[in-house]
Amino acid sequence: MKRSGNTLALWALLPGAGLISWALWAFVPEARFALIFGNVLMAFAAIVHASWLLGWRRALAFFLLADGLSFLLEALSLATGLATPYHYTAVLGPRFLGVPLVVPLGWFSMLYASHTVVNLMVGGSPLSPRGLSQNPRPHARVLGQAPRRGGWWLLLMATLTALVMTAWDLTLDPFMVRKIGAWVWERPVGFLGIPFANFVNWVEVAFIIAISFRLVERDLAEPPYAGGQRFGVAHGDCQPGCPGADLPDERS
Amino acid sequence: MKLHTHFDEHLEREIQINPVLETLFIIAMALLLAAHLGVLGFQIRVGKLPFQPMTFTFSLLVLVHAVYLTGWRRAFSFFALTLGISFLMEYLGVKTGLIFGSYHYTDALNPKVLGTVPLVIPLAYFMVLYPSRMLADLITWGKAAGLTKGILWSLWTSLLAALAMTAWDLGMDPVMVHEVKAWVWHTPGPYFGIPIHNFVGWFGTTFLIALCAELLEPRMELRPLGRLHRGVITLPLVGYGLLCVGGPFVGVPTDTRLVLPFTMGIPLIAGLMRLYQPSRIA
Repeated sequence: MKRSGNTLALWALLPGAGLISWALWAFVPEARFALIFGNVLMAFAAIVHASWLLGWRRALAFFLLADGLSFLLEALSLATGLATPYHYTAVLGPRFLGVPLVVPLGWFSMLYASHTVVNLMVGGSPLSPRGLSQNPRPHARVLGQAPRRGGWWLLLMATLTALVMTAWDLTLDPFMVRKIGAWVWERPVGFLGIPFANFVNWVEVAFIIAISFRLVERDLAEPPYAGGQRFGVAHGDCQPGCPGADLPDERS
Repeated sequence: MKLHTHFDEHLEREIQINPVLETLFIIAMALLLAAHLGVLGFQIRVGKLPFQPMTFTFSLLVLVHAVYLTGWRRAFSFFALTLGISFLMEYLGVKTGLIFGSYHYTDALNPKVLGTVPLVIPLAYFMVLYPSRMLADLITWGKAAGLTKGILWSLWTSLLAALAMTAWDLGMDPVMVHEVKAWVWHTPGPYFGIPIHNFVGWFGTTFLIALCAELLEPRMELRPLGRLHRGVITLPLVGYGLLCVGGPFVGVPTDTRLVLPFTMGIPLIAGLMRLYQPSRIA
């Protein structure tokens, strides 16, 4: 009863957050307010969803990594102009070191979605593959394998996450620049007025955050639903007899 | 012809194979791949876009692969289905302008069938829709072919296959219009001169073909002619990958060079990862 109630609340939360943002977008004349509010709402929905799916430790780690690293890298590229020169306007609200405060929030909520989509596409489960994401010590003990293997697989998953994340920017960036005027490119040549380097930098930033989380999550407590039957197809359609099927459920 | 019973690890079922036939098919595919790459390399050196010879060599490779992977009946019915429906839609599209928007083919891709649709067009549909369907199957259940779990399943995999196929057109259509001048849009549209109607038509056509194939295949047994090594399964995906990698080099206008690594690259990488996923990781 409690679980189905939680699930229902979550199903209402994310589409609800999106709907409220869209309604504001459509009906509130000051679009700037809707953009900022929608962004905050999405980040809130994502952190609640992540705490439910991944457990609060991993959710917090994801939030801090995505927020911190994206802010750091944005502020660095604004300060040095090394990436490709741009600057934010006042449209997205208060700025710190030139970066609007809602921008790292946007990185977090969309990266969380991209991360989950990649897990689903590659492994058939919204959680990272168990063999690569659980605490390495019990993993090594139960499966008789050395811990910390399969790093190349984490690299591939993070690369795919970066591509999925940046795919969004193919429409986001032209819209935010040409319609909203949220930021300005000093040299507007490339894809519809957005420099090609921007997309390369997006892939890099998203990759750095995605791989950081995949490395960090291995040392954090397993998600509450890991190993359970919550998703039906959790952990790659694992049937009795497949590798890892004999893992004890550590929470029971 | 002496058949051996063999438990295929990829399909997780027993199949009947003839080792001699299997070897012949693998040699044929290797030769076709070599011819394909050779023709591509030669035409690129000469400075031409290798669209036409690429279509002939690669659609043949895909046909041989389909026979190897799914058996004679499934392969040729999918081949006939794709050629038939895509030709019909293109023919009606050119004549009425209702399916893709109003357009006509120039003489750049001659010869044409019935004076309307170039011969390479239905073949191009076949050579890309086949790997697109493989990717849809790989992403949804991790196997390259052979499962249909009712109408909802068929609808979803056909949707995914049609999207993976139309993803190609986001880079291919602008270059074929502005550089090769293979067809002409009578009313240029908002996507680098291509009408949105065109992409709706592409999606609809490829979805229809994929769905018909999905509905037809349960009536025909999956009968591979050889063991499904990952290397063999990957061959058509190499062609899909070449089209994806070509995008950043040949795109016209240059803006479009950004698009294909994302639209085609994401399903390709996800499908390949699903195929090559080590069992201990899941």
